[in-house]
Amino acid sequence: MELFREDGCLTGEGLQALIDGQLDELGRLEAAEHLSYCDACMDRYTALLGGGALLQPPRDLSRPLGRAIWVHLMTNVYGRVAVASVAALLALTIWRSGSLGLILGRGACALETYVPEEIAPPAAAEVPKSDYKTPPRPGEAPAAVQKAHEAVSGFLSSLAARTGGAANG
Amino acid sequence: MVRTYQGLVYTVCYQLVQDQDTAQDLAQETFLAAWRAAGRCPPGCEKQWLARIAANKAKDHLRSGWARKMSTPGDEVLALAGAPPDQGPEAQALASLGEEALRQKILALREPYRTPCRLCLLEGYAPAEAARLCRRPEKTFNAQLWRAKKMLRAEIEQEREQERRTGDGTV
Repeated sequence: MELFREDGCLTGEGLQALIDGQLDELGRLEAAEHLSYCDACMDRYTALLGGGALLQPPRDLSRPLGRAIWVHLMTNVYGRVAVASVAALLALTIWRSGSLGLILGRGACALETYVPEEIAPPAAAEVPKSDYKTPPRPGEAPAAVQKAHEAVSGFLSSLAARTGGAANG
Repeated sequence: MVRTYQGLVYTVCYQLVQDQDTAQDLAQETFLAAWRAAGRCPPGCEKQWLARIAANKAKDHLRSGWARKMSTPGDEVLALAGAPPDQGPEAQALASLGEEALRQKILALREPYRTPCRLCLLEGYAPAEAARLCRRPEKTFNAQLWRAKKMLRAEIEQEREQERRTGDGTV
């Protein structure tokens, strides 16, 4: 029996042998390869199948297929949504706890170490006056702490002056 | 769609693989692939489209089984004596033949193997171009060419073996 015609398409008896289950493994592979790209032979084959009784799968396909589609959806769509939700929650937690400001503040302080010291600051007369108030830098101490620092420094210097005077006297 | 066409899809799979469980699995894979590519189904051609996907699934299954069966370890040891080195055993077997003998063997092959071999081994076309010329997918064309070379090699080896036995018998 010839499975293929000279033009490369499946013969009528080849298709019938496939339907009757008379082809060996190589013959079935060759037929499958041909049917996977030849429209004309696929039309002939489905027409032959339509005329006879179709086989039914041992188990209904709708239920396992529904499960497979559900798993596919879970792993792809819902999985991505879950990952995005966790990421958003984490970002919100970091923001609300103030850790974000701490991280950014440390980053700004670290940048300061790279400023070269050789560059002289411009003379005060050259700097145009503006109303702009420099915001406190992340590493800078607040005003209350500065005042306390000045008071302690003044007290210490006066104490040193007294001690020096007593020693001299 | 599943209830309407599950009989058709299962029948195509079963007729191609001849195994109930495998056909059931392939039919399920077919519908899953169809669900993923639902937008690509030509309107009114659902039957042919599903049967095409089923044939493709069965083809992949059969091809992997065939490749496992045919790829025997130590093939390189079986290369024919006197053939050019640095080639695969099939190429060595073919190169050991004369041009006319090779032509006769290729033209005696059956379809779907004769055309790929004629175009690539006799007329010197590159596989991609030859696949386009005979309107076959390149992957399918290459698989057919690979199997054809295996067939030719087996035939040549069988002839050599017969010649050797005949020679031994006369001596």
